[in-house]
Amino acid sequence: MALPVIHSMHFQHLYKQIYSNQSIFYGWFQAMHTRIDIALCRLDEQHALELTEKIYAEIKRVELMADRFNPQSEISTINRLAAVEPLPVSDEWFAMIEKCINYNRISAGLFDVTVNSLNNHKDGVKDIQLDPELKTVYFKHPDVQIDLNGYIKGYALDKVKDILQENQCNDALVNMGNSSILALGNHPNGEGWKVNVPGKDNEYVILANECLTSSGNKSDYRHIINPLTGIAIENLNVCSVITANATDGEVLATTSCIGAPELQNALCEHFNGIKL
Amino acid sequence: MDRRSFLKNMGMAGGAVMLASSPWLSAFSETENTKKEIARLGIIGPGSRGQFLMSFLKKNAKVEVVALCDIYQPSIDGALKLYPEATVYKDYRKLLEDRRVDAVLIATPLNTHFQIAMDAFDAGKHVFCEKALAMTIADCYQMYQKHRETGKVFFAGQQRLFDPRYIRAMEMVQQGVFGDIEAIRTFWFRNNDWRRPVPSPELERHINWRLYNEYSKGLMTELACHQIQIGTWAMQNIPDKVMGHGAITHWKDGREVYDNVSCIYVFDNGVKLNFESVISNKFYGLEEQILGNLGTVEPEKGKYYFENVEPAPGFLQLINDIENSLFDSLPFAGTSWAPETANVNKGEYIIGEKPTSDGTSLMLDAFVEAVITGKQPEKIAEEGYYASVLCLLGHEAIEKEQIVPFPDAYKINYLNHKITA
Repeated sequence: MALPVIHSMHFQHLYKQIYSNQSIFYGWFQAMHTRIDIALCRLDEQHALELTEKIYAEIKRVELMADRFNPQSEISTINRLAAVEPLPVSDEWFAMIEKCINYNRISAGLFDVTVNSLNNHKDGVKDIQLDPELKTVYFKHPDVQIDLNGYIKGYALDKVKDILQENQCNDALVNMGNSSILALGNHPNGEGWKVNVPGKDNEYVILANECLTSSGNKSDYRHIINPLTGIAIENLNVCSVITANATDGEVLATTSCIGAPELQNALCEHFNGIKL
Repeated sequence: MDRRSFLKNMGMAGGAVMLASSPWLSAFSETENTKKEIARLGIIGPGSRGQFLMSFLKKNAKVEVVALCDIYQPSIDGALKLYPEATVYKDYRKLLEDRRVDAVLIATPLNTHFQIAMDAFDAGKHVFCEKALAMTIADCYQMYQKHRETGKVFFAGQQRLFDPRYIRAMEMVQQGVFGDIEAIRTFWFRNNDWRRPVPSPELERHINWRLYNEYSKGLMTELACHQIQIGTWAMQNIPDKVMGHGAITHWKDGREVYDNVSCIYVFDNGVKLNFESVISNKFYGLEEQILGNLGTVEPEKGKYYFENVEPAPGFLQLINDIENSLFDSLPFAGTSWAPETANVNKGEYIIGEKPTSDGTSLMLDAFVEAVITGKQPEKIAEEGYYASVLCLLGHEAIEKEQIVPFPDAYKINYLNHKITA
């Protein structure tokens, strides 16, 4: 006997059985200050619901990790105490900071998780000291603050990809608030997934086991800051990139909005990405 | 909104789901070919409702009202102001003999609909009959069968079927935008005595016919038809049974029909449609609330609401594409979606604006097209039939104070009543 279908309190969903071997599940919810939309193909409804519940739990976990406005989150603890003395952090946090420092280096400083430090403190990444033995993080300057806003959605999307692949869900489309889109496998009626390029009329790309990441200022709110000058960039164009994983996409899209063309090309090459 | 902009706004050309949920709109598929044709109409009962209908016909260049019939002179005088050339009859049977008349509009008191409509079909006329169709379920059934036998066009005055906001709302319901329908609540509240001024006492029953059992079943036949039809339209299903109660609680002025009724219709999956009408309190007005597990539609207000975050249009398109075996590119507009760009739950307008009219004008235009082409639009007679029958069934439940099942004898080949070989 089939298990009863649960109706989750965490997300809403639609389910359509098209043929005996084809179905589409669509689930959506709000998290990380945006919306998350998930389409899963060829799963029975029960399986899709359970998988989406797992994804929801993981995204909420990552959201809390990086929530600067929640005093109990790990990022708040780090920002509060890492300048006092070397602070032991979780393996996951240690790896994440290590990765962000590396992204800063290869982007010649354009990707900078310390861009929102106190008192306009610049180049805060150089003030972050990691101890791989003790797994501690230390800020050498009291103004240094970490802000993962330009990174964490990509990070969460890569976690979603892991969950889907671990559960043999091979044909799926996941959209994190339109700025990061993960396409796995195929649309039921074609190869890959056809997605319009944001900000470009009548242009689409076909994504196959790839991520499309877009970055750009909104006309009423210029939120992308050039870390080298500390000034918000004026450019209103949307920069979109295709990469194998979403975290690389976040870095590449953000730096594409700021950096010189030569650097962009070098970064594309480094990440094996495509700039649209 | 005129018909052209309506059709444009609704995207007639590509609206597969819309045509599936409202197939009678195919009535407009030949409007270009019929440009030079004329439908000659006879109006039987041009009282207030009849003249209201005529005021819309007047705007349609394909219409000529050639004949009128009434026994009440003020109604005839009013109608002649709109169509001074029309021939006036005192006996509808004479009007039916008028060979110029292609079709009749029946807007007489309810108790006379049946005989007039039957005679009109027999005389070879197409028939538009105001709702409710008749005083009994058996009469409604005979009218429907007569329409099938004669092949003449048959419309009931269910204007919501042609109201853009209802059509769009039903399309969204069929697309699953609001999830599964869990309940439908319909109500019509007014605070007035429902009387028309009577010039002399002997005319009381003729003018205020809605208040007397001999002519009408009151709120169930005069108001419920519109709202109960919304239930079958949304559910694509005919309810199995109905229970109800009626009473006179306020207007104890010699009327015979109830001023306070409530019915519960039960569909085969357990979902219920409520109809309630009280005419001594108007605070809640009228509405048909379609409640899905994901959202709510209030088509009368022209609005819909989501329980939580609304589904993304790009993903709804994806689902439709998959259902229709398409592989189109998906629009996920712009950069990051943020809660500030979402709507607080004050709802969204179904057709993007505050509703300004109902479907009466389009319904009459559709009838005129059907009269000209001689083609009965799909499902329109069936929707009208069940709307009237279900109201009468509700009335029966009120009278018997019993749960009344839908009688097998009056099922027609439609939706869940479809005859399977």
